[in-house]
Amino acid sequence: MSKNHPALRLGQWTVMISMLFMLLAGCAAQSSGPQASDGQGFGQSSGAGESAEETGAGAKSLTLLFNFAASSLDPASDKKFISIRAGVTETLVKLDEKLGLQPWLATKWEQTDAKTWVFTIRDQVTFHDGSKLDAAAVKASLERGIAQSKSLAAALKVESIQADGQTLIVQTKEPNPVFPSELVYPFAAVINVKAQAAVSDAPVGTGPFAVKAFTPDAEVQLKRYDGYWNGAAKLAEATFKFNSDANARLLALQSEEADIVYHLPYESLSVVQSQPSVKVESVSSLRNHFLIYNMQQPHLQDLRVRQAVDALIDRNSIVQNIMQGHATVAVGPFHPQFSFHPQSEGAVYDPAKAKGLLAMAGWTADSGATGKLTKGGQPLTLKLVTYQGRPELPLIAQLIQAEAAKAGIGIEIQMVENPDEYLAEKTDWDLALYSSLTAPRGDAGYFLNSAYMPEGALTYGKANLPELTRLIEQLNITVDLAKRDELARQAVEVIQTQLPQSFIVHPNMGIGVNQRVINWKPGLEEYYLLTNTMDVK
Amino acid sequence: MAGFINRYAVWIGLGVWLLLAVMTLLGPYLIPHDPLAVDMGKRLQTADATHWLGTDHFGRDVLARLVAGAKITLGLTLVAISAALLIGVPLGLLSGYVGGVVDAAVMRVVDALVAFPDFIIAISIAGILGPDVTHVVIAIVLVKWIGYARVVRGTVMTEKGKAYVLAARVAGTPGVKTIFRHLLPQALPEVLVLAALDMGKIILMISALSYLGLGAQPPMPEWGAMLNDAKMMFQTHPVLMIYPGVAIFLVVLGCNLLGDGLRDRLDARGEW
Repeated sequence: MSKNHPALRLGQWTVMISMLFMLLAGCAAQSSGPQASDGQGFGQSSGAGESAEETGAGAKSLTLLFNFAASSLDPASDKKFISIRAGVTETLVKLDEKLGLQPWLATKWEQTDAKTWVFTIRDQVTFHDGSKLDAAAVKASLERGIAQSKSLAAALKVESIQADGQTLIVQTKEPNPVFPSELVYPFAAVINVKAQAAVSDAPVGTGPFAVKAFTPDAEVQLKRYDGYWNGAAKLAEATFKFNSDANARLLALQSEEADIVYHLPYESLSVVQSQPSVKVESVSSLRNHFLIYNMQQPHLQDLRVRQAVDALIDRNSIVQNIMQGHATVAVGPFHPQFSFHPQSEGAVYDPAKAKGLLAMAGWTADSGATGKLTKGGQPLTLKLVTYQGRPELPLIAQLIQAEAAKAGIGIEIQMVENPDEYLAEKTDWDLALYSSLTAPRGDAGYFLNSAYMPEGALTYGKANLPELTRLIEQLNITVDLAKRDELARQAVEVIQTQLPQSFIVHPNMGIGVNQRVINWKPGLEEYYLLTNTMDVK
Repeated sequence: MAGFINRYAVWIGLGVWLLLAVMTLLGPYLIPHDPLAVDMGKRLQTADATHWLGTDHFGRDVLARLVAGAKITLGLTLVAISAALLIGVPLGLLSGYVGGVVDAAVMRVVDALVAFPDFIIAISIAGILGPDVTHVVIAIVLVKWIGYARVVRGTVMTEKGKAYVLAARVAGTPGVKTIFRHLLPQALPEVLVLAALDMGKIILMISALSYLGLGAQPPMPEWGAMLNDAKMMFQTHPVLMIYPGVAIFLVVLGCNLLGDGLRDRLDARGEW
């Protein structure tokens, strides 16, 4: 054990060196790969094409690769919304390209009094098992969803549901002016609760695709549902795969193993664009990357310190250099496309102003040459928590860290596996770089309620702003859309002056699409990925 | 060529270490760049007269980061190996010399740990403790002491039955003295060879854990962490991965040559 023969050692060297050559050869082979397939016209010989041939002559199929994995397909518990994204289930109401509400499984709805909503369920819709969709089926599905999901129960606030033929009458516990928009929530997707198959493995929905096989955390295989109410899908089969590794997704796109790939790394978009068989769709998302201030920390309770950190965030540089231009500078939590986005000016990167604010707050440079700010002998050191799941977040954190260091603020970055758990349980952090959809259903209420109301799910910074709480309470009972927009705008103004968070950028989604995919465009909402109209050449 | 490498392995290995030591000590004076200074205006520049190896995606000088990384990687490795030796060697001596229940207790722990691959234990320990360099060092120490304890115990077991040890004991030498005067020197050469060989493995382990995001945290210019940072630019700017990769390769090669060479020299039982 303690000794090898020299010849053996030489053997090891030979093996190592030859492996090195094999590695290099592998790289060379890979780089010539795409060119070879270009010659044959947009990769007709690709993996996807072959699998289409295997499934029968002329059977069209497609593979979509998504960045999050789901272990269950149950629409009421799967936070990755795979059943709706894969076109298996549908909701009563959907969002259109402009994020307005559109009828889907419901053809129309009206509010008969403050707490009563009447929905007309679309006739001639059938579930994948052939049974007809009526109001009773919708009632059973919604009741199941509400029982399973606390967040759906909290969003809908349902008192009782009555079903009569194709008419669904919902009574809410309190006035819920955004009830139809809450029904867009994928947790409210309609399934046939009487179906035999386990909902977690094969939910029976009304969408264009039925589940053929599901491997948790790996993939869902789908087949066309011929009786789809809105016209059977053009594709005979589709595979919805999951992979959380951005580089693996990129390679799957380049090797044409996947036809549509979600969330490509920003640095790679220029490389992808140079491959003729593939195009990049860079669409603005409803997401916001923002910095949460932990308002429980004494030094961050000082507004001037928060303003100083905000002034040290170089948003333009983040958009240009980190996001490679695939982002929009954020002014407040909501995307500029929304009517409730305020007209106010965005934050300005101004290190000099930051220094002035910190000086006013009593933080002075220490006598040493380090330039570190201190107050009462204590240095200004902040702990910033972020996570790898969105690869640009650690980069933004490092840029903020570097800018803060120049101003004399020490920032320690800590990566955590599960930010939600960490931020909820620990109190030792000062800053958290986080990302969230801020208006996923086209309404400001979701984010305002979850981030600023005491019972919300995103109240990590524990900001207590009575003025803001009052506005949100008022928003929650206001029905008139113009008034709602006005209240939301006022709420954003309060947020922008009090700075419980610094909103940084709205990232674009970089989606790689093989040229053989036609009639498909990614939507802002990130909900409806596989559709009946999409096709392949 | 093989003969040359074999003959001069120790010197080549020492040479690599010397080079690293010089880089670590003099680097900051030779390279006029701060390894942490971000300059977004200069990001991803190619090598030129100011930045000899170019800049990374934050506009930081790559060479300055490599040199700063050498210090971190080597420092951590030395700390890890010393701690592993300080735990493993005494436990091995004790276990081998005392025998009985003590030996059984220590060896069962060792057996249990040996049953799992090193790297998997290290990943789980580092994962449980949370991402931090200190945690990585702890994880590595907890994995690596086993080897030393086993080697030392083995030597002590063989040696303690030999005449000179018996003679020492008959002459009334206290147990502690017997261990340190007679048994430790017998075990030491083998332990040192093992340590030198392990050095390379530990560097790889630190880098691998940092690459996985469990070790060095940004902006620390640890080599594995630099590889991790550069991963995103693998297709656009592959050099950013090649530089730290080559650095790790050279240092590990140096460690292995040194270990191999030492083994040849210290082991009198060899047939060449």
